[in-house]
Amino acid sequence: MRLLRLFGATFSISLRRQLAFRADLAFQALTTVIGVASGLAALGIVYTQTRSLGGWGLGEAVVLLGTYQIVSGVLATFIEPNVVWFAGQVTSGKLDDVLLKPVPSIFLASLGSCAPLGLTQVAMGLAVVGAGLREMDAIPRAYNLFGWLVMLSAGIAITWASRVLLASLAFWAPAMELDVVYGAVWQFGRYPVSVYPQPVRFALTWVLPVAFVSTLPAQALVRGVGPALLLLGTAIGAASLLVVQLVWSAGLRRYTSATS
Amino acid sequence: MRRLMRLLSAYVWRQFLEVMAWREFVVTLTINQAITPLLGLAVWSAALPGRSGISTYYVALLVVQLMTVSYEHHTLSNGIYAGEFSNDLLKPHATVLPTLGMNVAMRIWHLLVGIPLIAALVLVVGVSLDARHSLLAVPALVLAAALRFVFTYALALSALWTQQAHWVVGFGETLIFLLGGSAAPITLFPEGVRPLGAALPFRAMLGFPAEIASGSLSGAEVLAGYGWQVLWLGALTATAAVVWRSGVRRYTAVGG
Amino acid sequence: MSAISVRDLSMTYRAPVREGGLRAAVASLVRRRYREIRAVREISFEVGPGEVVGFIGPNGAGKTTTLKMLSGILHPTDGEARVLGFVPWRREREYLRRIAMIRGSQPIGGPPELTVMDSLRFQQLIYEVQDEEFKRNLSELDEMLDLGSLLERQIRALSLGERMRSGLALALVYRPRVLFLDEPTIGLDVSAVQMIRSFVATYSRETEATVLLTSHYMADVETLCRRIVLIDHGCIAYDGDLMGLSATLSPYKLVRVAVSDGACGDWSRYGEVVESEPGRVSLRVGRQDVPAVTARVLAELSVVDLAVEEPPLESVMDRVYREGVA
Ligand SMILES: Nc1ncnc2c1ncn2[C@@H]1O[C@H](COP(=O)(O)OP(=O)(O)OP(=O)(O)O)[C@@H](O)[C@H]1O
Ligand SMILES: [Mg+2]
Repeated sequence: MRLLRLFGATFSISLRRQLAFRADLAFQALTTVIGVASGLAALGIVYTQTRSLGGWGLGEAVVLLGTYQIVSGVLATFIEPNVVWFAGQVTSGKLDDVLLKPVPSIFLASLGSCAPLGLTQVAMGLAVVGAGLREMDAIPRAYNLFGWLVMLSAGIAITWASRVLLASLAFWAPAMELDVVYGAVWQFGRYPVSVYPQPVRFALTWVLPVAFVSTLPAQALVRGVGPALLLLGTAIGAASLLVVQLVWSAGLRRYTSATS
Repeated sequence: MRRLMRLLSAYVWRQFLEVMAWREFVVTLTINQAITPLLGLAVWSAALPGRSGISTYYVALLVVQLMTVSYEHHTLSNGIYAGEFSNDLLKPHATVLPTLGMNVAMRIWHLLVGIPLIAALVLVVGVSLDARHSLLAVPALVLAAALRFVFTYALALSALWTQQAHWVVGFGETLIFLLGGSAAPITLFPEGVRPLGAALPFRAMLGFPAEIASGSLSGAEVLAGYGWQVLWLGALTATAAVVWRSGVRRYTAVGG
Repeated sequence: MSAISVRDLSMTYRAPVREGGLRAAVASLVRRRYREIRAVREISFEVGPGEVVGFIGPNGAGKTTTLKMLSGILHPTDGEARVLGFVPWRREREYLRRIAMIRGSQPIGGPPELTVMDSLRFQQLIYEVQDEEFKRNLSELDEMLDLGSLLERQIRALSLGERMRSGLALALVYRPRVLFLDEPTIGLDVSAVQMIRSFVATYSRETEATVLLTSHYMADVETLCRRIVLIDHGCIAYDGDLMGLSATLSPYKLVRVAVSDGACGDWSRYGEVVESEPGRVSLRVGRQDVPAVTARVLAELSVVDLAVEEPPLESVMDRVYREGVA
């Protein structure tokens, strides 16, 4: 409850901060629009040549792309601004300030500020999902919608956990900055995992769980989801939250604040 | 001209060594650059299973991508924002040289780092290159590299007017991704827009050499492609020169 | 019960050793070599509630490291500490709400685009300060630190002194019971230093907060602290009151004499001459000899003025830092 209030406050602070930079604002919004549009166009070209991509029809693939954009928007709005170049933050002493506050440090370090404009991407993602459903000419059943929401939440939890996990690496290997690689692997979420050949597909499901971000939620929406998968998604989401807490506190024990 | 080449190679060598200090980071950059060709490969192999030439095209595209990477929005634009651009202006030679040197050094690094990946792909997906096509593609690759640099350089110069150069260059890159043959080979574009795609400069920067290498073009198409490349190189160089001149006038007047 | 109690606290940093060159870099991937830096070695001390203690020592002695452990930023490698009954590095919420750590090198954290007032409000939220209390505390702080015009300004545009004042306000608006001040006056001008000093004095007096303060300016320590803890190479070299320190560390006093006739040839029979000008001299005299020497001076010369002083702390500390405590 208290964390929610805090979250609201940081959001409004960040919003005010972002509004101060008008030109940034316009360009960022434009870039988001172009990014979403180009993703759609790329998909569109594929479907002029084929009717099915890894077993997914056009409308289904659009729903998936929209779901991917939603999670990407959440990542860009709430998570990325905090943990980007985390190793640098650790050495600059920013983490010292976080540690002094009477709030769970992992919360403040990974969600303490945000880039509200990223929400345009979430909104556009929602619109794309809607467009995909229209293309399929389907009104999702309530259960499918529910499954989508559950899997989407699990996907967001996994996203947060994996991104923070990557940042926590800085406690052990500060020279290793894998931010760019994370962004690169993230791109695999644009398409259903079934397009990738086998060892890659397995890796994208269980090692770098990109499948949980877009494929599985979209699948739940357009085809429904069995209770087993639903439970599994929830369990993995919850487990990832737990693991990241443990790793974070282990990392803090190693932290040697290098400020004078 | 001789002096220019000597200076350029000196800069390339210097920057190559400088990049050495953060080579781990270059590895991550290379992975990032490799993603879009790899995605294209996966998607199109799944969409058109058994179609010949797709994997050759995308592996060639990966090579082109790595050899044409341009980071002028980081090197040049950030230099302008940080005021280091003034140092370049003081040098008794063409101001573009340090930037170009860095560009070439980065491309060499990307290629070096990318070699294991390319080799692995060649082994796994099976690539059919023939010598004639590959040779034909080399000049196209050089032209593409020059074109991509001039294009990115011109966009990065927008830093002289606005604080938003990163978005401007990012926009250019989205166009290259979409229309340059990365999202889809131009040869697979829908009938109606294919001639347009073939004529735009984006294909000349990326897809064209890969198309030649994968043997998907007829002799006449290769010739036409080269024509477009030369044309665009001339046009973009002229544009960049104009942008540069008015930008510098503004920079020196405003004082950065 | 003491406010801070430290027993055998130690911190050893493990810093990877990196040699230059490509070969060494590759080798370091396989087998890292570490160098151990024993920054703090089994120190123990107690601080009573409301005490203001100066924590001093030469550069690299381990002061900042100790403060970081006590404020919960660092886990010590060994030993125990209790502050207000809490183990600092457990970082319990109730503990963090009661302490503040202020670093002179970086007095304010958080996004620099915010105004000071925004940041204060954020502190209020984080530290759960009631509205009324917030207003009351803020107006008191405002009075002492002269915040008025600063409140609406963006943090990034503040000067160092303004940053320090705002940083103090941010840290004290929730009324911490224990203050760790790490070189709070570093880089400030004379009047800012005065302001900070009198502020810390007033704050600790009025709220009875416990203060542990490091500084390289002896004047800070002299005006604020009755007791000092001296740390050197990670070990505590002295713990006691300030006067006692110069007494134990420096077996001399300064005797300043002014004479009327100006004709005195040989001062050195009274003591070691530190400085002299016509009619005036400063002598270094062993502590136990002071009564005898002053008596002789008064008897043998026509003295206009005579004063016996402790040697300046700065010079005492200089000797300690260079030669260690005898
Ligand atoms: N993060 C770190 N990693 C490795 N060694 C460190 C680290 N932080 C401090 N040290 C070392 O520990 C020792 C004590 O440092 P500390 O910062 O506590 O000194 P200090 O007493 O605050 O000095 P100063 O007066 O210069 O601020 C020094 O030798 C320092 O080099
Ligand atoms: Mg220090």
